[in-house]
Amino acid sequence: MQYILPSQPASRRSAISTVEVGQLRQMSVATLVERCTTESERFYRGQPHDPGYSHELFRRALVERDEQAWEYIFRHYSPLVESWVRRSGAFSSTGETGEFFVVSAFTRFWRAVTPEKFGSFPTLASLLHYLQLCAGCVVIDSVRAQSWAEMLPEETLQNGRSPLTLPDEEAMERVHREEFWNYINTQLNDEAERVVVYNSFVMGMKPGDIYTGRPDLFDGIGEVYNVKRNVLGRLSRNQELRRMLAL
Amino acid sequence: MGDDEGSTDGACCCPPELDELDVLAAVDGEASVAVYAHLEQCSACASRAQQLRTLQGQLRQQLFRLFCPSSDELAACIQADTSGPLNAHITNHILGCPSCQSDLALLASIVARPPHSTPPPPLHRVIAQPQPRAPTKGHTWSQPDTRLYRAGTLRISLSLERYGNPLGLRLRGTLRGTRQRAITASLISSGRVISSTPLDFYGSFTLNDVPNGAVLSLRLPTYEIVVEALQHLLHEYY
Repeated sequence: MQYILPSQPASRRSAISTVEVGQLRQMSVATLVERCTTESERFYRGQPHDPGYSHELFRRALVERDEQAWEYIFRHYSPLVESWVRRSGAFSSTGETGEFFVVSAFTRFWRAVTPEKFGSFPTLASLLHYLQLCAGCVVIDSVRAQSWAEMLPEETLQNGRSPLTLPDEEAMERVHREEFWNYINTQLNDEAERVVVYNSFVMGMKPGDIYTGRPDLFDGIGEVYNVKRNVLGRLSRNQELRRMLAL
Repeated sequence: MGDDEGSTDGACCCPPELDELDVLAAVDGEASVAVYAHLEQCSACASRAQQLRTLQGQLRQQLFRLFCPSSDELAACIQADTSGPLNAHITNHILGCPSCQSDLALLASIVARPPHSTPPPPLHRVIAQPQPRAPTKGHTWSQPDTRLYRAGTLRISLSLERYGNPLGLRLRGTLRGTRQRAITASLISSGRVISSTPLDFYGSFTLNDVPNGAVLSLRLPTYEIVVEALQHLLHEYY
């Protein structure tokens, strides 16, 4: 995920922390954990609090790769991440546990915020906002995986792509799929065929919805069906396409 | 619908056989009741429908949501909305893609309330009640300095001990009766949190430097337990 720098100046963290950066850097992780817990409690009770300790713990975890700091951050912020996921309307329909989303969100966050990128997060608020975005992304990925399962027949899911793949594999697969689309495009004769194929297979729409969206292009739903039948007939007889689909 | 079209599972058992458009409508879930009834009875027409379903599935497998931005790109859109220019290519796609509009709305709902912007509303408070000491077997006190408290079904045991300098007091405690994680124990003096610690896996905690007049608070996800009677323990030391 490309992080766009927040508008606050980089010195914001030190501006709102009562503790000097040098002092924070010298504290043990155990002391930081203790202070972080106390400051969080103050926040939860609406009392003045200092987010500098938490920010430093994040820095230890993400820049210095300190396992103890990461373990605390995971434990301390897990309930918060889970609350973000649970309040999204999609949570209950995904069939996944809250723990699944929490672990996935933290994993995504860990991979994205490398030591080199940590400087882009000058405040605790910016770090938590990014963690929130990571939580949102894992929810969306889960919802998309579910829509894949609903859209594709079982046999194609078993032999085909898994919705959760490694980034490299995903990029390769996308290139392959784009080449496939380019080939399909060469087999289409006019705008109507292109609209039908695009909306049927890229967008997952039914002929009725396609007609509703483009009444300017089709006389009626029957014409959408006719176009779709003709294209599918042509594609199914295409030897090159059959090879690409391994029919 | 392939080169071997028409040579599937024999002839239609209940002619007239379904035409291509009827079969296609059935596969797309838009056929009439009569067409579905025909497919229930006729294996030849059902086989044609299955071939068509497989072909459509294979095409969707390659093409479905091919041009949709990734969730990361949608997240970048959310950020750009507040701090930078939108990616025109992605914006144009989203405008024409109901699925991405739905994804974006979902993402926006999750990040709608920035974390740590405002503290949550005050928690419901439950005052823990001190429990009488119960003698153990043999009528001896197993831990004479341990006091028991109860809050609903939850049980709290607390003990104080001297440590470090002569005036230093350490509070040790254990909370039983809940499987909740993420519970924090805090000492509160004059309404202000003075120190906090998360409960460990066993529900135990230790808080150092307990001042006179302090109150113990155990914050669970949806409510807090307050041990005001901590004073009884403290009076023995101050």
